Amino acid sequence: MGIGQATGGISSAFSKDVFVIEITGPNQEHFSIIDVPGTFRRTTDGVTTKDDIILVDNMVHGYMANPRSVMLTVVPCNVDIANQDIIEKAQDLDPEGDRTFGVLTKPDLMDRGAEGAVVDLVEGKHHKLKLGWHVLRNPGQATLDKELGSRSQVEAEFFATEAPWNTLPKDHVGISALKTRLQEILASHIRREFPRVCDRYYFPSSCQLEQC
Amino acid sequence: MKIIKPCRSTSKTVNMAEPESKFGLVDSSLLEKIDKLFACNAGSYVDLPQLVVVGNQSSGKSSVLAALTGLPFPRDSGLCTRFATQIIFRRAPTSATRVSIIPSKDGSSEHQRQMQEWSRETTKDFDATYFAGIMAEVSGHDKPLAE
Repeated sequence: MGIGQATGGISSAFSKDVFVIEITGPNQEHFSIIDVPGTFRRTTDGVTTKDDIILVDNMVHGYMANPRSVMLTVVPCNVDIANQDIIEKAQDLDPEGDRTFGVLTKPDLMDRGAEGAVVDLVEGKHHKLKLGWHVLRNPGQATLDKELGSRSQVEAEFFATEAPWNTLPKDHVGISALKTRLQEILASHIRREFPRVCDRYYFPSSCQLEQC
Repeated sequence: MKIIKPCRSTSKTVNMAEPESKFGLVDSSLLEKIDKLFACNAGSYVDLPQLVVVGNQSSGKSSVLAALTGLPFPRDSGLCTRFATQIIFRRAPTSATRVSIIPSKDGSSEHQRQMQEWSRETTKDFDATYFAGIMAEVSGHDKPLAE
């Protein structure tokens, strides 16, 4: 991509090229996940420009607008949700809320005593999302060297012992619960797709597809 | 209606009796149906689910991605995501990881050609060092980007 160099005639801090990683194997599943650059509002001298702000916003919008995408809108707990415009964008593009998951990060970095606002969010008391809010506790900067295996342990312990997080419904916290909830969404999505494929294309009986 | 070519060998079944999937995001009966579609060269006709991780810079997006995929995404605060990354998982008998770049149509034709020619394939698992190396190569930097 040559980011940081004058390539492709595009703003040099970001690239519209897409980096693709394809992972195949007998233990894999069939789905794709896209990470897009984080949106931002203030330029950094010598690093990012106003054009970059627009470029990133447009790129993000493009992926979010795709009706077959399921949006994981990530918001840190320690910032006022009223300042997170990504939620607004998601609701504009998905007013029914059928494909917007709210993911809250950094619960461990919150001001002690201020957690009530996030608890209210998870309990659906405001900024309600149809698919709800989910809290994750990911490794902080200081623990980035830790193996991914203990990541789950640290997280599980956090949600089991730290108040008020240990009062939240178990299916709304932690990475395993998030995957379970995503599984339901992905399953219904795939089931919706099969009849459409079968209607449009003729499969000879040799294809061993008993039914769609 | 479009006719799908019949499978070459109808007697061969792909052995998918492997231990449980790493992710638990797609249930196994659906995985098998998709396997059959791919076996009949119809996999590309199915709109497979696409998860998009979005948020402001420093929202913790890359950590969420790392947690969901098990991939060692660089999460150093000095390395902000500068481009979209699409990770495609597909069940298949052999294990492999392939990285490539889809060039934007906005780039010069020379740039597009260079990007299309670039790819790497490995049968090893991605470890943090290898992954960081690939990301640095793709970004055109050897060092983390300055913030």
